[in-house]
Amino acid sequence: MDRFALPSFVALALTILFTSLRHVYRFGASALLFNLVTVVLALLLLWFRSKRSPLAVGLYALVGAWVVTGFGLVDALWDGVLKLYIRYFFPSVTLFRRSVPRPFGFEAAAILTAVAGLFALYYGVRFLRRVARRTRPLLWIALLLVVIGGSAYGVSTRTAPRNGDVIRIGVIVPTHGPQRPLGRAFVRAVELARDDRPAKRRYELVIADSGTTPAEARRAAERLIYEKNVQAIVGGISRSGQIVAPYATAEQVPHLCVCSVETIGDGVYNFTNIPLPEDESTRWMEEARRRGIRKVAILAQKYPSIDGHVNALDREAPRSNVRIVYVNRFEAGTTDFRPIIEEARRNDPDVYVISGFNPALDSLGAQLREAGIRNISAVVALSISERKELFEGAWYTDSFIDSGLRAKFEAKYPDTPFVAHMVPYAYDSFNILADGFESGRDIGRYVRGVTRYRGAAGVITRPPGGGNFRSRPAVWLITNGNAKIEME
Amino acid sequence: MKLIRWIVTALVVIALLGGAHYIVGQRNAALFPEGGGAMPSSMPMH
Repeated sequence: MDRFALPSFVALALTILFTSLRHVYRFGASALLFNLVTVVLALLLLWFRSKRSPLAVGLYALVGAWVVTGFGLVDALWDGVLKLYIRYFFPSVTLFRRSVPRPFGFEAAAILTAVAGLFALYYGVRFLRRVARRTRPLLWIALLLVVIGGSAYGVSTRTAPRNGDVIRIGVIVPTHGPQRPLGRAFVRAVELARDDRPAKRRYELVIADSGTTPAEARRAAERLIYEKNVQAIVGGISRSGQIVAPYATAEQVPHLCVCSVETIGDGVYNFTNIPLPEDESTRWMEEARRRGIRKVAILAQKYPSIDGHVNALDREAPRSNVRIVYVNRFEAGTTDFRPIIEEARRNDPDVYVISGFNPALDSLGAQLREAGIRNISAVVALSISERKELFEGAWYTDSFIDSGLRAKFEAKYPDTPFVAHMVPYAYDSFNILADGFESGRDIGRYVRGVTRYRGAAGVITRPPGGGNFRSRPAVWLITNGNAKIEME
Repeated sequence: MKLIRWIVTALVVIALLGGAHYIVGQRNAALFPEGGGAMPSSMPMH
């Protein structure tokens, strides 16, 4: 037996062992069955030793070439080691398709497989040069085909697609559950923005349902980023925005979020585009002063964005000589509000500020109406009521919107309620991104440079380096079951 | 000479493993600031 036979076999066996361990992460323990290939290689070598059969060494070489190429060079070296290091040290190189976060064991197995594979290649070539003289031409051609063809195919399937014509933008919002109306309006707004643009570039919208739980939002974010390879994301709802934000940072995907939780916007890859709670509370108190309101009761669902509004009102109240005389934060599943309403009434407020998502919101509205209470107000919340007649005469702060946009939206999507707190920001967010793509500049750098934008939500501004696009809300009034801007 | 080659190879492998550990840790810390380093994914590892 040639002296390079044993090192070649050991290196191949190690390549197979390490790659089987790596594939345990993908397919479970059954991946270890791949080690049976080592037995096949051993039998081929024994056959060769006893008969000096060219067929035995030919088969050994072909199986070895397949292992070295497919698992050592392509899967481990290209898709493991090089991908890990190049993506880390040269993040702007878009040579590799994004992959979900991988555990250390998976990456370590790739390093060991790649090293063993290179040894297997080195000793395999030395071994074949010594023993396969007679079959050399044919065998070398076959091996070259396996190595070059297999590598080229494997690398091409693991490399980022380069279809420069179509820009994929992810849209992540809840499209089922209690926040479905918000999500539907959001998706429609982005579609409208895309359809309204002159056709300079082609945009494909990839819709992902962020669902009702953090796990669903995480799955949706991963699908957009790792499976669909989107180039930017527009999203709504703070709860999912908080989950998308670290993914956007890690993968350097600009993420414009119609989210009121200020900390989501980091000014690098994540930006919020909606008035901040303090913008809302300032505008609300301004209107409250104008109406002579001195005492306020707050009945609000527990929820991150609502927490932000309640806290902002609480901070702004002393500056505006308004007293918050009662606060109740109820759970999403609350159905009986009568005890809360009675408790609030005993404090004799000038206005009841309410907030929540359906079904709680309209249920609270119906019970307030039953109790004869009409002096109702809100920060934004009433815009998503599905029974606005319950809140006849109520006023609230919400986004300023371009009347042309609303008319266009309602004409195009008559079945989708127009949600003022979503539609103009979703529309503008898409347009900011599309402007960036059409500018030809790096999209992240472009968005970081936008500090003022005139769009469907009026003028929105952002201090340089800040993560929050801000705008001034308007005061809305519900009359005859419809919400209309009363004052800009 | 042979021994030196093996030592260099071993050091390169150790350095690559150490680097991978660091990079994976950094990425997990960014994605899961709450800690735990749990794999969140429902997606196949391609």
